[in-house]
Parts: sequence; C-alpha cells; structure tokens
Amino acid sequence: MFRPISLIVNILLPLFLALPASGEVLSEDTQWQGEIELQEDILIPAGVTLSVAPGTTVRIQPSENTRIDPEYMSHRTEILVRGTLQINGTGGDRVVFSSSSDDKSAYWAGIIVDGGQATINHTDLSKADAAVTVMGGRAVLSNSFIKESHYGLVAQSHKAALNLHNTVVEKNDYGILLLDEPLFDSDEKSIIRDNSKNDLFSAVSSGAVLTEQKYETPIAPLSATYRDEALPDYTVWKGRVLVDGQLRLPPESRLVIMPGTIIEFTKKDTNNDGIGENGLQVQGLIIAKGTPEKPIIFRSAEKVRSMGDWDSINILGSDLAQNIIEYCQIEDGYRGLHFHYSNVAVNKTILRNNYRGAQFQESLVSISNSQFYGNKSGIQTRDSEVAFNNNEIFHNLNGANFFRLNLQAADNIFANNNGEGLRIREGTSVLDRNLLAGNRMGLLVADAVYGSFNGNVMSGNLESGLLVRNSDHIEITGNAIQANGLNGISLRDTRAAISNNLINANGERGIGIISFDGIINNNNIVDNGLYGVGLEGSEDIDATSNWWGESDLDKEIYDTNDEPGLGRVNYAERRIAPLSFVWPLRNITSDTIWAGAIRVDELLTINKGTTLTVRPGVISEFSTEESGLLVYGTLKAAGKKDARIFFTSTAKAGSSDWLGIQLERATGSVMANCDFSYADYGLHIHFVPMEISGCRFINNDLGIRFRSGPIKLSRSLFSQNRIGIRAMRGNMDIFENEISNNEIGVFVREGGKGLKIYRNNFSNNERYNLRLGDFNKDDVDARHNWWGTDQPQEMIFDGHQESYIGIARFEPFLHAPLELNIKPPGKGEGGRE
Amino acid sequence: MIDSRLLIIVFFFLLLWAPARISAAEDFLFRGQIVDTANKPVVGAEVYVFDSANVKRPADFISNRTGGDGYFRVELPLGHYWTMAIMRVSGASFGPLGKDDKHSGEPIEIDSAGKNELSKDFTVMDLREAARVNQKRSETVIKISGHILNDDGLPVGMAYVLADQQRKFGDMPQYLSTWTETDGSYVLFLPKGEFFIGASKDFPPKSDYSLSKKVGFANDTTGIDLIIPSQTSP
Repeated sequence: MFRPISLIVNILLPLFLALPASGEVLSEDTQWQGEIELQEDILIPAGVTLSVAPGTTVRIQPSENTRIDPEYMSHRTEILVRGTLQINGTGGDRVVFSSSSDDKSAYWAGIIVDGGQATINHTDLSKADAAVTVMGGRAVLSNSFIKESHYGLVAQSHKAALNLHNTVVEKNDYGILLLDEPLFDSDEKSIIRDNSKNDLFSAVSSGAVLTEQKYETPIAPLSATYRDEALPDYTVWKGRVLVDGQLRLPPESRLVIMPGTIIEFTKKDTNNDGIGENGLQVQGLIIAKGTPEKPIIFRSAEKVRSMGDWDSINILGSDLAQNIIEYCQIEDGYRGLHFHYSNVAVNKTILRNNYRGAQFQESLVSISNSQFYGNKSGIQTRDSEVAFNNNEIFHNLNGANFFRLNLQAADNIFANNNGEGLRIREGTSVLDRNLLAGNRMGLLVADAVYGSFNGNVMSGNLESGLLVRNSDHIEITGNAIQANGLNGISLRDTRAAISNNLINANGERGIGIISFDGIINNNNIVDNGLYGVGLEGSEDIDATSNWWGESDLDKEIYDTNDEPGLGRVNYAERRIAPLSFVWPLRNITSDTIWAGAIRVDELLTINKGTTLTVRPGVISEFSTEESGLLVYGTLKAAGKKDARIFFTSTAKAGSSDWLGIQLERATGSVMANCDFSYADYGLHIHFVPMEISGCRFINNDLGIRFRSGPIKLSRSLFSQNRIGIRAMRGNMDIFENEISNNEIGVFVREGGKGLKIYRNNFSNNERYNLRLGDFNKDDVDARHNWWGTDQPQEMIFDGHQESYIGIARFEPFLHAPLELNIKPPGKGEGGRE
Repeated sequence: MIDSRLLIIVFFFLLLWAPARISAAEDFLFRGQIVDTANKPVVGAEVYVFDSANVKRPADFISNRTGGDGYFRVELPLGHYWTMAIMRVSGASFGPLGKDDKHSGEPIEIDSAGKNELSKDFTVMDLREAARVNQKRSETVIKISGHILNDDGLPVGMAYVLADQQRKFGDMPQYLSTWTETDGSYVLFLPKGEFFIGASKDFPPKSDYSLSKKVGFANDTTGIDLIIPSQTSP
C-alpha cells in the first residue's frame, strides 16, 4: 500500500539521522577581530576560549526562530558560554556587540553564560533580549556599557556570579535582575540608572517541593552488542544490551524490550562537538514496557556518564500502531526521545540529564505520569496532537516549549525551571489544573488563536505568572495567580475573557496591561504590591464586577487618572464581597496564599515542605463530606479579632458536612481567631507543637481531637459540638476557654496525664463537662475551673463511676464563671454577601 | 473657443458617470459563505474586517449577520485587510469569545487591488472542533477505548490490552496498550479490521495465552470493556 508519509519519511531520513546543530560549536580556541557579522548561534564548549580583540564590532542578526537545538538556550541568536569568553576591549579600542537590525525591538539573545566564564572589558553591549545572562559560572564586566536591551544583566541561581567594575547599565527596560540569590557585587564606580521599568530587581522563587525519582535496575551480564546495523523483523531485548553505533529498526519490524533491561550507548563523537552520535533509529515499532519492579534503563555506556554521550531514541514514521515507552529511565542523551510522524505513548518514564528530555513533531503523542528533570530543556514539540497529563517538568533550564499543538494538558507540574515553565505558541491549547510555580515565567502564551486556561495555579514565579501576547480568543478562568515576582498576568496585543480568578499577592501588578481587548470581570484581585490593574496602553479596559478587597481603587488602579494619555480602567460597580473561588488542585505543593473566599470540593493535601497561608478575613467553605484539609506541611491561619478566618461547610446543614482539618506533624502551623463549624472534626492534630487561641468550634462532631503536642489552647469557644475536645495521649494546656452547650465538653480517651485543664468555664454541656474514657488510667489535672455548678462531680465521669479509670482532679474549683469575654458568632458572620 | 454643446455633453457625462466612478474607485464588495466543520451554512455569523494585522481589537468593518444560507457581504473601501468570521452564541458583536462561540482562526489577508469584488469562504469552529480538525493521527488507524475489569466489574490496574489477527499470536501480539491506572481505563490504536483482543496483567503474556474476543472495528470505538478473571487478578 502506498503511504505518502513513507515517502516523506524516506526523503527526510538522512537529514533526521545526522541533523546538525543550527549554530556553530567552536571546537578550538578562536579569536574574533575586525567586523563580525553573526547570523547563527555560537557555542563555546568547556575547554575552549573565544577571544575578541580590541576594536572588534560584532553585529548579530536578531532572528527569532521557533526551533532551538537542545544545546542552545534561546529562540534568538545567542552566544552561549560553557567555556571561556574573553573580550579584550581597551579604552581606545572598544568592542561593540549589537543587533544588526535598525528595528529597536529586534533583539538578539545576548551572551549566556552556562557554567563558563565571561570576562568583558571595555565593551558596549546593546539591543539584546538580555545583554548578559549568567545561569551558572561567572561574568566579570569592566568599563562596559549595557544599554537599550530588554534586560541589561541577569544572574540566576546560586551557581551564578556577576561582578561589575566601572560599568554603566542604563536605558534598558530592566537594568539588572538578580534571581534566586546569585553572587553579585558592583563597585562604587558602576552606575545603574534610567532603566524604564526597574533598575535593579531581585526575587527568590517559591517553587514546588518535588522529589526527583530515579529507577534502579540490577546490572545483568551483557546479552547483545550492536554496531552500525539494522535489526531483523522481530527482536526481543532483555538483560544488558550495548549499542556501539547507530542501530536501525527498519519499517515493518518490531523491537520489544523486556522489563529490567539496561540499554547502554557508547560515545562516538566524529565531529568533535561534544555530543555522541550513537542511538536508535526506529522506523518500525518499539515496545519498551517496563514495570515498577523492573524498569528499563537507557543510558551512557561511558565510565563517567555525561549529558549528550549518546544521541536519542529516534522514532520516525511509525504511526500504524502505538509505540510504547513505559517505566523507562532515559538519561545522558542528546534528545532522550525524538520522533517525527509517529504515534507514541510515554508513561511512568523518567527523562533526566539529557540536553533535551523529549522532542517531536507531526506526531500523535500521549505523555503521562512522567518526570522531566535535570535536562537543559525538558520537552520541545511542534505540530502534534498531544495529551499531556500528570507529568512533572522541573529543575530544567527551560521547561516545556509547545509550538502549534493540539494540546490537552491536565494535572501537570511545571516548576523550578530557570526559564519558562511552559511556553505555548500558536495551536489549540486546553490547560486544566496544572501548577506552574517557581519558574522564571510561569506560562507564556504567544500568537495563539484558541486557548482555554482553566483551574491552574501559577505561583511564586520570578517574573510573571501568566504572560499572553499577540493572542486571541483566550479564556482565562478559575486560576489562582499569586505571589509572582512582577505581574500576576501580563497582557499585550491580546483579546481574552478573564473571569473567576484569584489574583493576589503578586509583587507589582495583579494584571499588567500594555494592550488588551476583552473583559476582566468577577475576579478576586487583592494584595498585589503596586496595583490591582496597571495599564500602560491607551485603550479603555472593562474591569467591572471584581472584588478588590477594601482597597482604595484610586490607588489600586493605574490608568488615565494617574497618567494622562493612558486609557481608563472602568471598575464600577465593584463587588462588595469576594466571589467563592474553587480551589482547583488536589495537592498544594508550593507555598500558597488564600484570600477572599475559597471553596474546596475534595480532600486537599498540603504537602510536606509547603505552606498554606490563609489571610485574615478569608471564608473557606467545604462542599462535600469528603472535603477538608490534610496538612503535612504548614498551615498558617492567623486571623484577627476584626477579620476572623472561617472554615465551614457550604451547606451549613449540620455536623460532618465536611471532614475537617487534619494536621500531621505540621510543625510551624498557626491557628488564631479562626472559626470551625459543621465539620466531622474542626481540627485533628497529630504530633504538632502549636498554639491555638481565639478560635471558635461550633456545630462539629468533634471540635478538636488531638494526640501528642505540646499544644496551648486558649481563649476559644467550644459550643454545640458532640464533643468539644477529644484528647488521646495528649500534651495540652487548656486554659481560659468557654466550653458550653456540647454533649461532652472534654473527653480524654487515654493517657490524660499530659493535660492541664485550668481557668475554663464549663456550662450547659448535656452529658458531661469532662469525661475520662475507659482506656484512660491516668489522673487528669483539672483544677481551678468553673464547672457551671457547685457540684462539679455531677458533670464529670471518671474513676468515681468506674474504678479502673483515672480520677479527674478538679479541686479546688471556681465558684463563679470567669470573665473571658469570648463572643459567639454574630448573625450572618462568616457567610458571604 | 470651446463649443458650448461640447461643454453641455461633458457636464452631463460627468454628472452621470462621476458618482458611479467615485463609488467604484473607493469601494469593493467582499462576500462569501460561512460554513461549519460539516460544511453546513452557519446562521448568525459575521465577518470582521481589520485594516491592520492587529486583530485583537474592535473590527473596523463588520459584515451583515448571515441567514440560513450562510452568505455574507460587506462593502469596503479599496485596500488591504485582515478578515475573520465569528459566530457568537450570545449574538453580541464585540468582546472576547466564549467557549461555545466559533471563529475561523488566523486572520485571512485580502487585497482589493484591481478588483471591485472579492469572494472568500470561511469555516468556523469552536475549540473542540478545532482540536478534531487538527488531529495528527494516521487515517488508517482507529482508537479503541474502554476499561479492564475483574469478575466483579471492578477496575483492574497494572493490566493492558492485547490485540492480534490470530487468536494464538506466538510470543507477542501485534498491538498493545499501556498499563492501566487504578481506574482500569485503556486506549488502544489499531488498523481498521477484525481482531482478537484480550487483557492481561502479565508481560510478556504467558505462552498459553489466547485472545478470547473477536471484534471488528471500522471507526473509533469507546466502551469496549474487557474482563480479566479474578484468579489471574490478584
């Protein structure tokens, strides 16, 4: 049968197998002098020095390409330094690096130092996206000018060092960005001034807490060795396989790799570019089906394994069945996975320490439950149909780059990448419930004509959480966009509907607008550093029906009222109460801040190492019996007397409407001035030292249940619960609380010797003020309380009723209630609107 | 001396000709049909016309709203334009699109040079339809999906689907799915035709394994559930 795709593939195959890098990799020490016209990227590898002679002028073509080869960093033309760059300008013979275009916005990428050393003397650098970026290694600038660039100088990560001597950084958009605590020093002669947006901006990302998984497989004896050859129709691999060449799997043939197999590739670098060429070229079908117990490993065969030792698992024109890569670990490659015109499923696979984890185009691809970490770039794809679900893309220099995809992406984490977490250009994209945290930029959407971004969390990114430019028909709904260094959302040349989002605690603007046509309605926009909405363009903006907290909107909004010539942000009518924002994710894996009103529909887990901060005044509603908070990290809910925090149910029908808040070794948690109602348990505390004060526990099955401690519980109200406080082997000081109208005030299940119950008011509890359980053998210290009666024993169940139970030591006791002044909730308090 | 009769003729000629000429010189007719992905005329759609490549703003011109035949027309001054068709469920004529609204995607450039009439048809689609149109799948392959269940009808995790043209397939069947998650759902890609299919938790499948179910597929099919007997499903 004639297949057009086969024809295309056969034409492309020779190119595909030996695809050269688009730039130039310097293979030996090199010197530039005179006039240099640079049209392609330059890579200075480790061990190689590029020297630039005095008086040299370098003009760089500012092309922006959709294709980046894995060893490069930018879409624009770049000089990438992994070795040494020595620029030797002098006072009389300066060196110039600039764009070859007269267009002011046509930037070249700049000099990027990735583990190398750049020494820059008497040099003028201009018209770059970032004149010098240090991602690792060191850049030393002396007697230089950095100007007319988007970013002047950027140093990112604690592995980066930037030193300035008598250097001027001026007339850029941003002067110097110091991200994630690089080493930086600048002498007193250096000047940073007149940069339009910021002279010096520094930020530390707040990323996700993720674990780099790693598969291990026992080493087996070598079972097969292959060189430059083709496999037969049907091949099964098991044990350990050595590939010492380019191994081809012809069309119509199949390769099945059994669980537990290790495939090792030797390094062959014929063009001396530092990148190995051995790999797999699959035109047939590959089934690499590992299991959790017996994963499959693809890696370098070298004694010291390095990134780029081998090429890739290339799959080309294989779309008549689904190629399967499951429970595999692919490391040390140039492109771990690389396919064109193919149908591939990648599941439970780890792609690490590759120049690029995966790259593909014109393919039908499912990638799920996989990790991409420690690669120069995590994944880059184009012109494909992609289901991308439940993956983690983190600790890469660049995260994910999707061009012209038909994309469905849900439940992924794009975190802690030096560049964008996710970059989408053109295509049809639907993104639901993803976390984009701790990247330099969370999500960048460019040139798209369709896009739905719903229920994602974009937080703690160094610059913007979401940047949309030159895009149309974009829907941005139900997202939490918070705690990003600059703007929550940045909009340029975009038409979109922005609604039902929580946009809070961003460093500068909640929404920064250069040009925008659309609506910004029904969002909660609060606690942003400079402005809720900052307008830099002349068009008017519809931003009605948003909740802005208590802000003075003259100050919260930057528009024509602040600078004539700008458009007007129309915010009337403003909402007087927050909208209920439905928290979209099931896990909190990065630091999170709740503001306004939050609704939770399921059991939300706060992972170890992360903090959920609940701002004063927040109303948190839980909508199902299974909903609640399970805290392994830290929960900080410090309400104020005049701005209490509410944890309650949506229905407010009765106790056990929702589960409650469970704290498991959640050290550092804080609870003050909070209300807990209609829960199975308001608080369920295991092994957490903490203080709880000023709280109210009403209409729960159990107000508080706890084990261990130590806990200080004070100035709180327990009312209308089945049991106010339930202790089990607890260490708690319970003092100055109002414990009334419960079925049982305090129940000590067992191990009550660590309790001190004093100076509380007990009253009107239906069965007992204090009930010691059948398993409690200890006496309990309960002196100096008012028991609502002069006969306290009548309302206490202890060893007086059952001899094997401990005794409640309640004498001496108070004969009148304490003036605690703890008020019950007022009518309508904690409700919305 | 100019003949007065000539002047009168010229005057009347100008009087009759000039307005038509002016109109023809400054306007041209842009028309066409708006259809959906099934090639059916779309009612209530409009064509938006912009005089620059920046189309993320209110349109400079808007056509009539289409009727049952899907035809639109709009008279435009001579020039170069960027055009797109939009159908809003709400009936509004401005602002961003909702998820059920349809549009024709990237703007289409038109130029009136040398013409007084220009025809262009548009296909509008919503996001879901655009996703279908942009599928990258080989036309010879179909997608089968369902769940792997045990005897009690409960989903089976860490299982997979096998398919082959032979009931007894030798070492390895031709087609496999990925491992299932705890919900037991699977997806399998096959060529059109008849296959024996089954499900297993063992990889490779045991040597005596035979595929029990014969099915024929001509199109994408959902809900093909497969049973793994409980004794092989620990």
